[in-house]
Amino acid sequence: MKIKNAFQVKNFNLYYGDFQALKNINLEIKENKVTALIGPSGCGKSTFLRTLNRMNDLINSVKVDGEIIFQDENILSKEIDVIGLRTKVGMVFQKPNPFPMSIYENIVYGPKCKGIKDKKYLDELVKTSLKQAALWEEVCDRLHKSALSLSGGQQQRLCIARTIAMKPEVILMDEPTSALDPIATKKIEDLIENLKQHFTILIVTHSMQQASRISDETAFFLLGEVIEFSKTLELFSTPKCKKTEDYITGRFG
Amino acid sequence: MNALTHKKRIDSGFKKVVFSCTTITLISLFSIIFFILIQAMPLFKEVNIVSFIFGTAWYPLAESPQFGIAGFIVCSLLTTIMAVIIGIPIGLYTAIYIAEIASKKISNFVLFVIEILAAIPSVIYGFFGIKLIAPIIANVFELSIGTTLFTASIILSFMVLPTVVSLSTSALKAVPNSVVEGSLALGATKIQTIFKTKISYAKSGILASFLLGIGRALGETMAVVLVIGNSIAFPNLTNLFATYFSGGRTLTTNIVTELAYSSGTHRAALFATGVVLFVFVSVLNLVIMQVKKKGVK
Repeated sequence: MKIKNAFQVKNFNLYYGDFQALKNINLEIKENKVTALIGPSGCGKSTFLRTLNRMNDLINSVKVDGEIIFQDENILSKEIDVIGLRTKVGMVFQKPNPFPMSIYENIVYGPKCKGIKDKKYLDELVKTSLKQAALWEEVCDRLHKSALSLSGGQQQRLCIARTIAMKPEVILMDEPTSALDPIATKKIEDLIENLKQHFTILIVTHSMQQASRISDETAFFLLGEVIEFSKTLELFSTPKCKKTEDYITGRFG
Repeated sequence: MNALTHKKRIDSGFKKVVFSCTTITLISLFSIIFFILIQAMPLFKEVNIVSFIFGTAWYPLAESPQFGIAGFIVCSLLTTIMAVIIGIPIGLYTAIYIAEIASKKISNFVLFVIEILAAIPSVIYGFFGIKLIAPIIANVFELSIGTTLFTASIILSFMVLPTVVSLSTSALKAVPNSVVEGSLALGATKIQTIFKTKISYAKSGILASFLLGIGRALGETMAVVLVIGNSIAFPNLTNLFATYFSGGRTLTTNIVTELAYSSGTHRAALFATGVVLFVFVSVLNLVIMQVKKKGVK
């Protein structure tokens, strides 16, 4: 079976003003796999992740060149429908950021923005999304309570459910467990394992254990460059690069 | 040892100073309340409170004087409501423009203008109203006199703008970026993000700005007295349109118009008008405090 690419990144550069944050990135992100982006703070891995759904558009000084092909289109192009891209490439953030509304309203927020009003469809969507995010059992009797009443781990799973409700192709996760305790982290990791059947997942993580536990492929970023990109098992057992080895064995970073 | 006692003495001395200042603040409020209540008391020896508040006739100098302020209460409410209907959307949309859309340079400039607007003495607003707005109203609506409830409402809507704009702007700016990103990442447009997320996040602050604006409109005196026409006739409630385009008198303007030549029961009735106004404003402030408390949660 041939595995298709979700993203094809070619000669990608990104600048914050005069500072070049990402240098000549070439990557092929495979469909229905979990790809981990690891590296020390400030290496550009989050910046790279935020390029894939054009969240960097919010920062004025960012300039980019190169190509990132997603569904046969260069998503860096000015003509691309950014709103449409973001519905196909969802994102889960470092800190859980539910809206100050009910659990139900949080889930239907995206679909409603797209103009979907069918109540029956939305009700069903809330149920399936919460089930897929392994949150249904915990909240099914209080869907109309404020999302802010949930615990941190539940809030983060709600944010994942909210993203799933858009039926995206890809889910980007920017250190989704760094604000959570080990038990909540475990739940999210199990969830990611299940989600990859339906979605392509890219996850930025500071924890190398997490990367090795949940990802199929890993890219090691250092000072804005991709030093090594290969199957997770290979990267952690037999790194080709000295720098990778130094990082994963904890010699720096 | 000596130095320590010296420091301690400064410390306790300072505590006494701040405590005294706080006491003065509290006393000033309570003495005002006490003073207007005492001054209003003589009225209620002659007139019962129900006929004062619900009475529709105000003839303080007649042989059998009548002290009914219902008409003034209605005028206060009508001008305040219209001022809010005009001022709040403009104020909120200005705040959205400043906080979300304008460049930093432009938004700083607009905020600067708003602050000047807030600093203009109210008598100047009144002067502006009587010289510019009233003639325009008279022309447009073919009235013989342009000093009407509607004219007062327009002036008041200008006056509530600074409160609404500056407080709503800071409420919008205080919305955490993470929530905004969450909305955009779900494919929401900028406008959807502003209306569905930011305003809902900032709603207690925005609501507080509206209520403070209402308080300002309700309590404004000097600007209103110049443009409202000062008629004591009870407003026609069956034809609000006609009412807005005729003269009226509010609680505040009733006091300021007649205080200088009043005495005895008449004077007490004016103070009692002040008590009613005070009750209105206090209730409003209690609501504002509740709204803010809810926002903190």
